[in-house]
Amino acid sequence: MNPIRVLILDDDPAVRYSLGCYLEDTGFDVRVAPNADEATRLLDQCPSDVAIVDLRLPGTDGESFIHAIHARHPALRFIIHTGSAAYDLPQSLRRIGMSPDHVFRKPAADLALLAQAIAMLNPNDGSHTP
Amino acid sequence: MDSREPSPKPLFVLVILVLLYPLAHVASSILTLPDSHIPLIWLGSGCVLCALTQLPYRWWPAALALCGIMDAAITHLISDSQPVNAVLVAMGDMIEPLTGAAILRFTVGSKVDLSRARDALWLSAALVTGATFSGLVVVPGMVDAAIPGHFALLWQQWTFSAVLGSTLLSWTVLSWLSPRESERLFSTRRAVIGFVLLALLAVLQMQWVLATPGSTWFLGVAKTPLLMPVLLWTAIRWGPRATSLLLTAITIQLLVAFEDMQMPGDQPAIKPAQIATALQLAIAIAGGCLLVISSISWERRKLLARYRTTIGELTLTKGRLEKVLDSAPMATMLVNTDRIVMFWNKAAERIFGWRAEEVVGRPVPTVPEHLREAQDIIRNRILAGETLEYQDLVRQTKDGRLINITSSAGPAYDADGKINTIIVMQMDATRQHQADESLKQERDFNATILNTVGSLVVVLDAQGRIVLFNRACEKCVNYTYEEVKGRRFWDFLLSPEEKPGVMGVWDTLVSGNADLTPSDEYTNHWITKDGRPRLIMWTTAVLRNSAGEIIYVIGTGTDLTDSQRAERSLRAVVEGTSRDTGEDFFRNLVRHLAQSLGASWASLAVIDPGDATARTLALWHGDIIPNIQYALRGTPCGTVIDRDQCHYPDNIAAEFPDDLWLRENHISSYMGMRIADSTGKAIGILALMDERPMHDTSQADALLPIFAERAAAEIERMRAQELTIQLRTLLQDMIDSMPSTLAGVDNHSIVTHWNREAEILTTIPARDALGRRLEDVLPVVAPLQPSIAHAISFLQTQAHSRVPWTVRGEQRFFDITIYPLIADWVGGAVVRLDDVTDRTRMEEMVIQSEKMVSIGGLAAGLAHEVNNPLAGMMQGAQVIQNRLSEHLPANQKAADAIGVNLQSVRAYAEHRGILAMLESMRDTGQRAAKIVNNMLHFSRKNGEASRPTSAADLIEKTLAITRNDYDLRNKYDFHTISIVCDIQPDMPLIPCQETEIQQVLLNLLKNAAEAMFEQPDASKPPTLTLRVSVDDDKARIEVRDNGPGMTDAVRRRVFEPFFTTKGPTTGTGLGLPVCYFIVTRNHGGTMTVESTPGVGTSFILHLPLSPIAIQA
Repeated sequence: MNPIRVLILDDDPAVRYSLGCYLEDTGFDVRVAPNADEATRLLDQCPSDVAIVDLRLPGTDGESFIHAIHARHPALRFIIHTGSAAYDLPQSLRRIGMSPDHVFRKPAADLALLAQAIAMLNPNDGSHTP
Repeated sequence: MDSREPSPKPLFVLVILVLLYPLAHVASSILTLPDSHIPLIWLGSGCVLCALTQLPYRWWPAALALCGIMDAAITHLISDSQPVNAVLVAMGDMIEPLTGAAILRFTVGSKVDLSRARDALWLSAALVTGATFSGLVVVPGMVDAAIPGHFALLWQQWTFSAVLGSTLLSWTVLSWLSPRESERLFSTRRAVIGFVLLALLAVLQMQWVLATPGSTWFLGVAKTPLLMPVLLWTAIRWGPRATSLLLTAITIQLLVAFEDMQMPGDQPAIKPAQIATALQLAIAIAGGCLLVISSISWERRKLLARYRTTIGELTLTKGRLEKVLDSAPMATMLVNTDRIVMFWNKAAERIFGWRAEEVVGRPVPTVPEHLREAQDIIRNRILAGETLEYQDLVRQTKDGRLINITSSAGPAYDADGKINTIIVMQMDATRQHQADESLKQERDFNATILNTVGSLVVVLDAQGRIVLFNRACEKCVNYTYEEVKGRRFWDFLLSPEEKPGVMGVWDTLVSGNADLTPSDEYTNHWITKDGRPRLIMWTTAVLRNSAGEIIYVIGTGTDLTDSQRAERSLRAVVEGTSRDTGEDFFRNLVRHLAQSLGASWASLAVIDPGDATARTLALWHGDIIPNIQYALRGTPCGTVIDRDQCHYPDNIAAEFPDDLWLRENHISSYMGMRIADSTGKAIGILALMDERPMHDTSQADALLPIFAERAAAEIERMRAQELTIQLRTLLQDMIDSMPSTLAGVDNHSIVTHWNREAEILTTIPARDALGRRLEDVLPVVAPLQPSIAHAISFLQTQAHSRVPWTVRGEQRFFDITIYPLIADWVGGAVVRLDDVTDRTRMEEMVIQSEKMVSIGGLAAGLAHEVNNPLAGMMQGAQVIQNRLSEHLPANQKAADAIGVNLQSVRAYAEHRGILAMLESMRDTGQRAAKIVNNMLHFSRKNGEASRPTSAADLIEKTLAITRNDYDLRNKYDFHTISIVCDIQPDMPLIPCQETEIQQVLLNLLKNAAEAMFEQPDASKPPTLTLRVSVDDDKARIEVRDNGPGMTDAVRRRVFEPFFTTKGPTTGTGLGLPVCYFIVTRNHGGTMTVESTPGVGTSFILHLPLSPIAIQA
């Protein structure tokens, strides 16, 4: 069984790196991108199963990225990981299958929860657990 | 004896005595028997006795002295007695006539009339007593008296001889001195009594003499008393003079009888010489008596001559008198007791027409037939001793005319004091009668005026006798004119206390030289017939005749008693009630009213609102009696209200048949007065009632309005007072019920008012605060003194906001307002303190909230920037923790790759505290994130929409969270708390942001749990009560614990941001502020806290049930 491929889109290197490290340690196939363009390029090169998207990004923001990349990679599932505490999931994102359960706020008290959510998002292999 | 008969001159009597006495003495001595030495008849004492009866007392010593000296001298010379013995005998001789004469003078007087039995008997008694008494004095001094048995004999002889001599001489002399004119001798009855007495005396003497041993020679003497009846008979038959002659004869016979006497132990010897002696004696006595009698007769004749001259003159006068009477203008007549005319003068002839010759010796002709009976009454009164005057007697004349006469008639007495004549003087008054008629009319006119004037008019003569007494006087003192006429006013009209003063005034008035001018007024009391005093003010005038003598004193008086009484009752009303107010006033008023006006009932009533009933404020019937309430309709009081004043003099029950009260109390008369207030509206009734009729209302008319006026003023005053009290109470209540602290001060900062709130705030009760300086009882104002002074001085309200004051250890804030009192008669101010602590705190909180909101806005922007670094840090820490873990295969692989022992690394990290620090980093980061997150709540930005939420769901979800919230680090455990849920059954849905309210509730539950576990109380199992109900248009959610509670100071601050009682690591100080913010700002609700230390704390949320109220 192939590990779940996770793309981390976050402009904060510390967050991006530590999260990547954690998820790699947990057993995911992790790639990281500092911006939407890089992320798009990476996905176009090789698709991922789950994208962890920060909302505030230089250039294209997180939501626009999700909409754009969803059009190209409909199978890709998203988890929003944002520093905005009051963020409310917009209807457009709910329509593509997102729910408030897929929104994680920084700083997460325990990344294990995030990992669990990623695992549950994988439709192909729900049995995968870290 | 007629007292007019002249008495002999004393000197004359004395000369006779001096001449006669030696004669009598010598004569007696001659008669003394040589052998017996006994003076048989002692004439001397009778001689002196006669003289003494005729002499005034002041001559007695001279007469007695002269005779005494002569007696002693003669005795000494004749009988060769020792001078001492002679003096003793002379004294005894003088004692006899002195005693006898004294008795006679005391009993009969100087004029002894022996033709009267009384005088004769007293004379006898005087003679016997004098002789007996003098014998007792003289006999013991005699030589022979010492011989046994001789004393009695000697004393008998002395008495006998003295009595005999005295009787002989004095009877003879006095009988001749008695008036010859006196025809009446002894009255038969008296003579018989005297006779019997003398006979008894004679028998007794006889027995005594016979019983005396050796008295045989006295038998002859004993015949003397037996001769007494003869003596008396002679006196009765022929008078005293004949008796005296008889007495002389008897004496001579006795002397002759001596011849036969035998003295005891003596040989009887008849001595012819003694016969000669007796004859000599008789001649001597006869001569002496003749001398005395002739000389006295001569004197008497001389006196009688003078007496006759006087009588002659009197007769002459009588003739003149008759002439005078004849020429007098008045008809004068003398009428005897049988109506026979004795004298009839010329005027009588002129007036009546009869001539003296025609009427003298006949019955009085002038009394008309039809007036005889009346005339008899007059005559009987005169015969009883009265002197009468008549003004208008009708008499007839000879020619049959009837004329009016003025008549004066009185009795004349005969020598025996019996009325034998009536003297009548009459005048024709017919002509005068007509003149009198007009005079009378004038007099009647004057009298009518005098009687109709109200003033008292009394006319007195100069002696103070009442001459005129008008009707006003009669009415005043209840005496009629007839009763007082001629009486001296001071005898019965004055009180004993005032009498001396009034008499003084009277004396000065009549003496005429007084300062008292006629117009002077003075007052005194007259005592009425029934003894009551009346005060009268007098003005007097004195009427004098041309000689300046007082004829009349005219007094005009005014009876002040009633006016004084009225004045007194007025004074009583004013004074008696001036000190009283209210009930006492009304009681006194009715009492004075009833007493002043003499009514048995007095009532003062006020009309109740609605004018249908009245109730008494005071009711008097002999005393204050219980008040009553009554309907006005059909009562006299009802009429008074309409008519101002009402008077029913009698039989009031007939006027008001429905008034049972009147009937029950038998009231028959009524006088009522309306009491009106200052606007003229009737407010009460003042009434007098009586069981008797009440006709005279003059005093009541005068007094009632005054009483009513006074009562009205008092009722109004009372009503005003009631209103004032009500108003004051109302104001006090208002002031007390004000939530502000109010203190009134005067301009010296002394507290004058202190309301309840002030008492609560300062814990100083009003009674302690009043009168103290404001800054002492309310220290917070101490710095504001200048402000208070300024407010008072410039009448400007001064306000100070949020003045801090630490009250009982808690800092509180007050808005202080100083209002000057603008009423100019009260300097001062009202200081008002409003406790604005809560408001201040709330405002501060709002400010804080606003700050938080801005912080929230800032935080919203900041959160992302903070959260990202935090996330990087915390994630990094977690990765480090992860990568130190032995369980991660990658770790082992990496360690192996570089050749380190993973266990060692981990041991090292652990040893160096790296793992703990990592954990701490994550925790700290977490907390930072939480703060930022909480701060975000203050942001108005709120994504979640308000949705109608079930209260039960809300609570259930919240409780579910708490159940999972068990945390070792927490000191509490929800599992050990009993949670009570009480949700109103029909609780409507509450429109709210569910998560926020959940957050609020969770926060409250956690706080409560913490509080309960902080200070566990074994007796109280921790209990949380959640209560949801509808309160007005709001949902009320209460979270109550039974924890330790909190102090006010804490309670006030619980909603302040960053205020916390928890330790620095536990609380953020934002929990409750956020809750408050959520409820108030986000939901438009309210959030309050109630707490009692030791009992528990309640947080109460009110959330609007109407969504409109929710703020955007």
